[in-house]
Amino acid sequence: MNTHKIAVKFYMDKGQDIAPETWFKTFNKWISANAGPDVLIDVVDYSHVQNGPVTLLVGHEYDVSIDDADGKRGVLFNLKRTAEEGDFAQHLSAAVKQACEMRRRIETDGDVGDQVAFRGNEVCLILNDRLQTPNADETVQAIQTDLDAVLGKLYGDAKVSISRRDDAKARLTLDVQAEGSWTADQLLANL
Amino acid sequence: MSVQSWKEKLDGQLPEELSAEVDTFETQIEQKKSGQIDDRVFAETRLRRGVYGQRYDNGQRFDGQITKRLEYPCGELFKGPDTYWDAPGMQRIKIPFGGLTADQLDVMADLAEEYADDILHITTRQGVQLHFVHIEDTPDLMRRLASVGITTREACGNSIRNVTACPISGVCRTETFDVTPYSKALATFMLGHPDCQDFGRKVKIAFSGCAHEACGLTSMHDLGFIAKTQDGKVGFEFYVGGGLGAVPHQAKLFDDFLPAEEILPMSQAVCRVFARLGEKANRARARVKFLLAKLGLEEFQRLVQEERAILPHDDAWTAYLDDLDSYKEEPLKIAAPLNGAAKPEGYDAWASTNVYKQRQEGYVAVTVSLPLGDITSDQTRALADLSRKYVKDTIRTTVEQNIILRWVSESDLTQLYGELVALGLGEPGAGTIVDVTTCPGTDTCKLGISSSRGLAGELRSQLAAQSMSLDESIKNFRIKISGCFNSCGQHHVADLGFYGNSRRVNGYTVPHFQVVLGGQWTENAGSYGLAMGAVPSKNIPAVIECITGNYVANRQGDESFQDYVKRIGKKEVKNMLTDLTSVPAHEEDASYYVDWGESREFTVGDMGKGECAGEVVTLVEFELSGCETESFEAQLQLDEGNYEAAYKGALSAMLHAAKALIKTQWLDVPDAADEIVKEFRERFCDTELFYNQFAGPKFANYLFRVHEEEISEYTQDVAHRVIEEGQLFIEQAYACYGRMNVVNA
Ligand code: HEM
Ligand code: SF4
Repeated sequence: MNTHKIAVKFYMDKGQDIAPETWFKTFNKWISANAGPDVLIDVVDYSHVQNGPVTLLVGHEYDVSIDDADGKRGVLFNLKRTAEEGDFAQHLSAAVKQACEMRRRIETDGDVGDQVAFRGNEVCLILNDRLQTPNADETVQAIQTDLDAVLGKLYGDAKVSISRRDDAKARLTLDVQAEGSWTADQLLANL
Repeated sequence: MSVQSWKEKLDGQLPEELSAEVDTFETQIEQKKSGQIDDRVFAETRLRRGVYGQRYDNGQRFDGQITKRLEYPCGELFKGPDTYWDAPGMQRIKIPFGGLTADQLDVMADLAEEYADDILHITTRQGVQLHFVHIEDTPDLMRRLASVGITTREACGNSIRNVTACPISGVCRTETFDVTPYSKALATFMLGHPDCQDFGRKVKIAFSGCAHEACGLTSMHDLGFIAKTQDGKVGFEFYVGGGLGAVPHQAKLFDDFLPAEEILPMSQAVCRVFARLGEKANRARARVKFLLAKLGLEEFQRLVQEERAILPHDDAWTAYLDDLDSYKEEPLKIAAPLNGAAKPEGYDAWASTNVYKQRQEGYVAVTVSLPLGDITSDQTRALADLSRKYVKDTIRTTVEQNIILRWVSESDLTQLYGELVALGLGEPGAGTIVDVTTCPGTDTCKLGISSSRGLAGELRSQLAAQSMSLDESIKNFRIKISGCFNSCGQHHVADLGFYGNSRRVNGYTVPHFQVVLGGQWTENAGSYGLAMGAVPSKNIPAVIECITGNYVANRQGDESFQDYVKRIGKKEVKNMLTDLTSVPAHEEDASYYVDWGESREFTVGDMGKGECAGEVVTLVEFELSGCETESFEAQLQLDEGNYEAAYKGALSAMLHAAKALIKTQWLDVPDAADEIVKEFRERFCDTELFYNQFAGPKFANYLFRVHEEEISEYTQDVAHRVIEEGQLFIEQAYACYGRMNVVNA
């Protein structure tokens, strides 16, 4: 069982009302400032659909979006491709780390940083690969050790609970709750 | 835990032919990566499978200040001329007559999540597009589609495109009869048909159940069929040579009554004439409409009828007619009126625009309005569930980029409405001025000049806000927008049409739209609008206000907008718009220099070479490339120790190469090996056309020998030898074709 196709979402506590145009400009600014090695390609506005991607920064390895899926606004980091070989634990760890970096990038962005705050005790993990990681308890069992290892590192000794969303048609989606409240800096320091 | 591939997982669940096609495409991808296929041939190969390029795939993008390189990791690997391998692309999915099932919606929703950007986009020809797809994901994507009976074959490229039809055919109150089974039969018959593989450009076909409504838009299609009965017989008015684009043509009546059993063979005959005589070199003049104009209708008819007379008979022409009833749809729920059910807020407004009373008492067709044709994966799955709850797989996409659920019992309407609203799918205004249609434009299209989607989004929200106060006479106007003159947004057939262009003003390039007024949507796109002049993008909302305001104030009696535009004339309209054509200086108002839905300063520098026309790859080149793939697959079989399969694959590749050459002289080469060998011997060996300068008939003899030899045991050596000989034979076929072309030129 292995996949690198992993999406990580941090929910917003503050900043849900930032206009899509502002995000659109911010992501365009990121493309302008980009000096590699990541390949950032384009920004798309989908603010006209309900509970979907609002503003999407498309990259080669990953996409980043302001995301309303599941009805709660957050930032979604979606790892599509990776040049790194590795097992699931390594991919998960890499995806979580990059997602934390994105979260920090938003928190420190000159235009939106002041207006945003992310929920410190919650993260959502989506395994975007119905073939390798079907949405079933068996998958969770198979990745439990890897999950525990990565989340254990991320949240240190804090108590963590994981629950799988029960929607047969959805991708395997795990809601992770941790004790305490964690900033992106703290999470990155832990990793 | 599973570690298999989609290929293994879906093994045995795909129609064999589709499965083999996708395997072949996957092999071609591998061959391209190892440098064995030419960029042009590969581009046409993928286009014929609906795998399109997308904006920025040439490795550069203007960021508002400078044009930046996009350093795709693929280095110098390309998937077409100037098209980087790793650049995200578009996948077009053909949906014949727009007909979908709930399972198909589910699968497409999953694909959008796993391989694209979570959005399904409904196109202006009832198709579906996914954007930002990596080419290496396309084989699995196609397998998963094939598992629910969908093919992407010939969704792009120089081929027969999606066959469209009225989305309410079969439930329509005014239709002559249900055109669904005929459109489906023609789509199936034409798919991959050998006579449709050598076009200079695409061919579009549409069916309509009646002449007066708009639904089928037959007048703007290469081949259009309008349902008709005559003396108790079922048939069609048959039109040819319509089309939009930079030079729009209205279709011409080819036959005022073509009996149903003739529609397949007659279409086939048209395709043969088009393949043979249609322009190939000049892409801008390669559609059927230009051939028709060049030959004149009478000569065109004569040639097609002549071709029809000599077509070898095909049982498929009429086989489906015995089975017409099998296409009949059924409701899930019994018909019942709504009676006094409490109506939720907003229901009446929605019902007045989005609910169509079916011919069948007690049932309605419900339009789900999709802003800009977009729907998320979650919404798509939820809609699939709603369709399971209320109807039986009776779902259609529309050319106005919406989705229709047919056979809803009236008694379910208020409940269904509530559920749609909860999903964000309960917007009213389908088929009215707020239901703006748009092509992908600068968002993803390489040819886009101005942002059609940006403008459409803006108009949609502005008009929705005013919808209550809009005058009745303009409420049902159609607005259609294309990002450039190519007309993918069908702006010619809208009351208010717009297509993107640009103007140099004050040393800057400024986004504009050409205003096209008075196109007729009804009567199957009965007439095209008139271009009135270019206006800066940012003034288009004001243009709409000005023109509709003048119309409301000055129309005479119940004069239609089309008549009004004709009466006041182009000059008067231009006068009205004069004030709106000026652009303030950059220092004064910089917003004019940034397009709708954009934050970057405007540029036309992001445009690339479009792939609408496909690549000019001749049928022979294309087929020989297929033979190479076959031979390569034989090699793989050899490596895996399947000697018999390897031997047979190599032989088949040789036969196909011979057949490709014969086709340059005789299109109807039969499939039987004996026949191919006989024809090849007579046409290419006896004539010495295939002879090698030094080796004479050596390579031709490989084919003759392998064809005749009897193998008692398929050993590695035998298989290996035939593969080698096959490769030499194919090379010789290329050389022979090259020589023939020089002679012909
Ligand atoms: C020179 C190049 C092109 C020409 C002349 C062209 C022309 C057209 C026309 C006339 C239509 C629709 C009207 C009809 O129903 O017949 C159409 C459909 C369409 N075009 Fe294009 N087009 C071109 C390139 C492109 C490109 C590069 C894109 C974007 C990737 C694009 C996107 C579309 C879409 C989404 C549709 C509806 C598609 C369907 O489902 O079949 N077109 N095109
Ligand atoms: S009309 Fe132009 S911009 Fe729009 S999709 Fe067609 S080619 Fe692209």
